[in-house]
Amino acid sequence: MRRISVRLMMAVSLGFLGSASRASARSFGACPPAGAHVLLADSRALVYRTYTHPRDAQGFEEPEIQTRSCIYGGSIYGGMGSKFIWGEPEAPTELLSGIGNLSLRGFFLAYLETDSGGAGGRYAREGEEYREQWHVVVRDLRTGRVLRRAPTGIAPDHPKWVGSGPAQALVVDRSGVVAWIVKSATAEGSSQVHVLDGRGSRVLATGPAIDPYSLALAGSTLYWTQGGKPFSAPLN
Amino acid sequence: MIAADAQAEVYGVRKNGESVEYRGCVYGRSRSFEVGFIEECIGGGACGGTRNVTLAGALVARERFVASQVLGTKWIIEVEDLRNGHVLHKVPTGTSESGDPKIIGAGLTSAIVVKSDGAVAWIDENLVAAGLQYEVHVLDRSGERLLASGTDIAPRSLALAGSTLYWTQGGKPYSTTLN
Repeated sequence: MRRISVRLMMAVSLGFLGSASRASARSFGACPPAGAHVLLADSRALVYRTYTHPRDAQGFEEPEIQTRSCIYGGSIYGGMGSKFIWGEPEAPTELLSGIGNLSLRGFFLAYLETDSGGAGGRYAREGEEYREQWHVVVRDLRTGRVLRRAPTGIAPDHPKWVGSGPAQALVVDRSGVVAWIVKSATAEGSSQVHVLDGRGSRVLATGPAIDPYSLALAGSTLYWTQGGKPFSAPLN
Repeated sequence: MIAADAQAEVYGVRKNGESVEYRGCVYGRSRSFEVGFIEECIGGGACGGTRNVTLAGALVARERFVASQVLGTKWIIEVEDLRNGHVLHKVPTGTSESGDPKIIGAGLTSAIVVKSDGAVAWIDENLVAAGLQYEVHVLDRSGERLLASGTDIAPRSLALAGSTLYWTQGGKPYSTTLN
């Protein structure tokens, strides 16, 4: 016969237990390392930012901000090590690139990757063609590999532009399907809701009245607000 | 690991080789708090546990339930601050039609969402005379209110974008603003 749970017996007889009991917190294990800043976490994975000081070929330190991830396993985060996602110099430079609008669900991390400037990773000089590239990226944090990567939309008619503008909101589901809202960098006021899955990228909605921060996900149902009204679509 | 976000996590700990207790803590702090325990039943027909544990920053929301023939049945929504263990909200999941004083709450929840300011919304399963129906509830600065009810509410359709709450009823999306 099953043993009677002491915990349940107490809950039944006393009502609900007070929740402010004292106990030491769980040890974190290998991840995140001390001093790291946790950006996102869920029950499967954790994404953090840390400062590193690698040396260049001449032996000079080049402080770098790294975004890394680790997955949960064996009762700790990071039992299988961490994966590199992005690195950028700690000191301000002319390089105008980075990642933002991170979204994590399960083992999948999605983010906006921006790369802009002139040749050689610096501000464009006068008369030089300016580069603007916006991509949405999905990584599988179990392997660290990029699962999907696509421009945020159709680029304006410009040879150095990729993507239609920066994604303002971005959500990913547990299978790695990602959706985002992008406001066109050229068509004033026009926004689009995009989805990227194994079949490619498609546009779910377009128009000036899409609320850029209205994107939400319940399971695989995507919601957004347009003209003050809610809309939804299945992600797969 | 039961739930985690950028500020806090809720994890399970086996107690005395029997039940699994859920505990929550804020990263970098040495103090953790009891959040609940895994769902289970005992020999006399009593069941209990904690469902739909959800985090928003350092706040944790969940449903606690106990069902006992002797002591009655409770379905409670709780929102707690894991920085200090303060309970911000503790309310029944809804109102039961039974009139039985031993029944507190309307039924189990199928989804809970919480905002970092403590506003919370949930869908519960209420057994009424007409059968099982779903109810969308909100508790925020404006108080508690029932937003929708019916047999055609998708039980796991609740989602939050900032202060906009979404759900699906009859295949159509609905939304409201949490205050």
